[in-house]
Amino acid sequence: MKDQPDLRMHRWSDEEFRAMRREVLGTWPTGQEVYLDEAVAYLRTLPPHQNQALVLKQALTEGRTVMQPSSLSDLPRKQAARAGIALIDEWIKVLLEVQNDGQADALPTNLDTYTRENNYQMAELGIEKSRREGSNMINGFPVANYGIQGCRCVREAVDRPLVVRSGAADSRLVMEIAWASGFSDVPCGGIIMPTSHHKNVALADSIRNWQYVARLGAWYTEHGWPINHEVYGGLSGTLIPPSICLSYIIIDSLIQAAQGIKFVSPGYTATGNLIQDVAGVRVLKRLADEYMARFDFADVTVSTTFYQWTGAFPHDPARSYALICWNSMAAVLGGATQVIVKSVQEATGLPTAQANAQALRATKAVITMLCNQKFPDSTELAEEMHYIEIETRAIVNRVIELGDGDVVVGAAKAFESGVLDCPFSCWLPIANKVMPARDAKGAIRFLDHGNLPLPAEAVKFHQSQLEIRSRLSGKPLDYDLTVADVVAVSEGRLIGR
Amino acid sequence: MEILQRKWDLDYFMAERQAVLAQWPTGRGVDLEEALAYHRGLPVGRNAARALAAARAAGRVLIQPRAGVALIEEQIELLRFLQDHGSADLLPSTIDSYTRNRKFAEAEAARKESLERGRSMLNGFPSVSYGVKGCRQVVEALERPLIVRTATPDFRLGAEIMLAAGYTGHSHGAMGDLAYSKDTSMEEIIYNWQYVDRLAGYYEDNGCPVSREHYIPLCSVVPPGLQIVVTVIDGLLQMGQGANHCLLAYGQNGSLYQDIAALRVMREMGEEYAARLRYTNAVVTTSLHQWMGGFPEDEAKAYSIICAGAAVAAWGGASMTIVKTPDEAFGVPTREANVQGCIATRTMLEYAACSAFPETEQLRTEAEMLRREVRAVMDRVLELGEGDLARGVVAAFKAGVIDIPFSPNQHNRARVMPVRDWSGAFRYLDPGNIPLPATVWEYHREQVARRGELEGRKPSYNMTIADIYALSKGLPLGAGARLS
Repeated sequence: MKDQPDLRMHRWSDEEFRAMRREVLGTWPTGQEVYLDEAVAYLRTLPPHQNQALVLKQALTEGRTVMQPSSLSDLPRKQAARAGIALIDEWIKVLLEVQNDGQADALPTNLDTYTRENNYQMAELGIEKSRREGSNMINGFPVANYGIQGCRCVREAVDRPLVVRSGAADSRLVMEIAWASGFSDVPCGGIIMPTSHHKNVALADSIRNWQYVARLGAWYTEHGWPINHEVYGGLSGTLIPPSICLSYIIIDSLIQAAQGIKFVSPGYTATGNLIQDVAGVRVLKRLADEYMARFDFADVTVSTTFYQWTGAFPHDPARSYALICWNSMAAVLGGATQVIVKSVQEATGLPTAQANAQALRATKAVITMLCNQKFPDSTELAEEMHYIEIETRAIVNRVIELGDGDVVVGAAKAFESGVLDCPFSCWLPIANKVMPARDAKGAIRFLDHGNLPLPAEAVKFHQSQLEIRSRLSGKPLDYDLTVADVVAVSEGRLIGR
Repeated sequence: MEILQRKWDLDYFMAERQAVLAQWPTGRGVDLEEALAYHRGLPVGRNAARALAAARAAGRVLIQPRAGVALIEEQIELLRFLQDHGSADLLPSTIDSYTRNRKFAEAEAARKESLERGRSMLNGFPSVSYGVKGCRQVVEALERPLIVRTATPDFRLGAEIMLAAGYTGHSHGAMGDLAYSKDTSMEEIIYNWQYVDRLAGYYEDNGCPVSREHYIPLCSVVPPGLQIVVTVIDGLLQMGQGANHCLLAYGQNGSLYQDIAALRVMREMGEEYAARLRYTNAVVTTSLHQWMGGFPEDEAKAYSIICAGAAVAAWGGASMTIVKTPDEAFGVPTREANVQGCIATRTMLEYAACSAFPETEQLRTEAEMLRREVRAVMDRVLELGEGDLARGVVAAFKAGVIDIPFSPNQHNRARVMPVRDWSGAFRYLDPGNIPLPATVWEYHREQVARRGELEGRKPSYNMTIADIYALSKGLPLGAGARLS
């Protein structure tokens, strides 16, 4: 691996980028069909409203909140078997239902597990088996296997921006094909993906792979097809204190921006406490803009994305709808540019297109009802914003310091020392010393902040808020609180009992 | 007949009672002394008035679904299901239409038919047919306070029977009839409900509080200031008869900030005027009726209305909310759908209880405008009655000082025209003879003009027609209201 670019925050040279491209495109035959000039010519024929970077930029300007479903499955297996047609057509049907019945503003395409693992051979077998049996045998859309031709079929059948929802440590080939086919957004993040989804991945590999995606996205952006990078803040999806979420997404946004991308949409994940969520989105926007400017990326457009609850969902539709409506209120009142919408089937598996459309309609109703009201300033909100801000600054600044101004270098060191840490992560190398719990009002606090370099003032604040809960509930401040909180939302409450 | 606000003399009331109890044979089963003893024996938690007062003190919102069927066993089974699976805090018995209209013979026949066929042939619970004994079976079988739910110009006998059976909450009052009754005069309606209030007052005087709830059904399309005025009047009328526990209900109209402001101002005004009229023992609580108009067939949208309603209840400081169901569009909901409505509401209440709604400028302005409007109209009503509220109310309707849009009641002037503004909030397109303060009228006109600009047309009754038409397709939340 001698010819790999150095692991640091520099924009890759054309040579470094080209060398890696040759390697990436050679990993599967469809890679050979990607010609950048041909792609740019094709993308010029697409209308701007099918481009996610432009849609988000406009929504940001107008102060609107747009919607994207979080995950789509194929049709239920039985239905697919009866229809017995090729998978691409099935997929288009799903997207059209979400577009037309759900009024989605952007359409996600989830990758199947084989593709996420770069196992295109097995994905191919899955496609063949699905065709033979007339039933869907893989759990997502195998972008690489279908290649540009297949993906452009999807592009031309629908009328909203297309997003690849990856979650993989290496989506380089997928993004080569997706950008060339008219997709324009991907949830990403080199330091985020291991923490979020991968047990064993090497941090260096993940960072390089996502730097590649950003470098490629920058190329398309420079050639007239702007690419949005939604930096994914869902992490482990379980009781993430906002400052941890913000630190991750700001650092990864900087790493991506260093490759020359111009549109980034860091994704905040809901805590379920309205004040904390409004504060989180506001501080995110402020700090993301500020750090971009500090690293001379001031020309990057930062919109914000708001993830509805990423933890365990309730089983019944009534509680799930309440959760979806509740999170939507926070997204709108916080002024998020985009809300990622869950569904009432979240607890049981991949939702159907219909379930997605229903959740989108419920979310839309809330967006309309609030008619762009924004949360006014208040002491409580200011206090919450203050702590999220000083905590995030402390972590991000420490990372910058550890890397001597290079956040890539800093991030690698930060994970070793636990300066970057996340509760409930599946990634083995992580310090895993942080323990969260909710306070009496349901805001997520640090029960134990591990080695996070939080200011003493913040540590004291978290402690005092948790003590109020302890006093009111008569229960000691320990791990049992956390356990109760982890399951609370799935039982229709915010705070565990 | 001149109607006055003063509390009925006990002897007069007792004489009136004899006539009322003679309306139907089961009336003879009412024994007030036995009833008081029974009420006194109920655990504190089974009294609706006390439960609501406790909820208010604790800042909690109680949940009440709607339910009423013909047969006792089915009624009990249904309510038990709502109690056990929907965690309903208050249990309703909605009365059938025959009983509401005092067609007791028809109700009795339909009850028997229901028994023969083994299914409900009535649209509610025929409490008068069952008498005290039957109704008490329901009370005995359940563990929550029971509430009479009805809407009619005359439910005197039903109230006698159900309160005697151990029901501790009773919905409806005189003003509520503006939606239900075409010919009945204001005087007669007020008189009949003074009777029920006097009865509740009698229980109250003997240490057994009864919660009297007031809701004006037409108010789904009525500017909230007017809704507050008439509901508060109903509350003051009951206080006049010694019934202190007053539950003022507000109907969600889909504009979040207006709904929250109105609910808050309703309680504030209820207390302000109770104090003005020196009802010092009054206990005022508020309730939020989730959207009372047509519901969308789309379950997702139905849930968002229910959840928005729950949030309004929590943020508006209500002590109770009446829940709707995701199946509302399809007729009387199944018990399962009813439970789903309760659960969605409960979940939303849990979330909303953790964070206060922001005190936006929009919210503050709305509340202040509502206060000004309510005070102006209430003061005019009291002035017209020369200090007597009941007399003032009758005069106010004649003069159009109170005027409910779309009421079928002939004694209502019907000059007022409501319209939604740019944000979906209800305003006056034409306030008729309502003595709206100039600042309030100006505010309404500005907000409606803003809609006009957005739609590129002058504000007119065509907008009202569009709004009413939109209502039939389900509650359009917020700004979407004006778009359909």
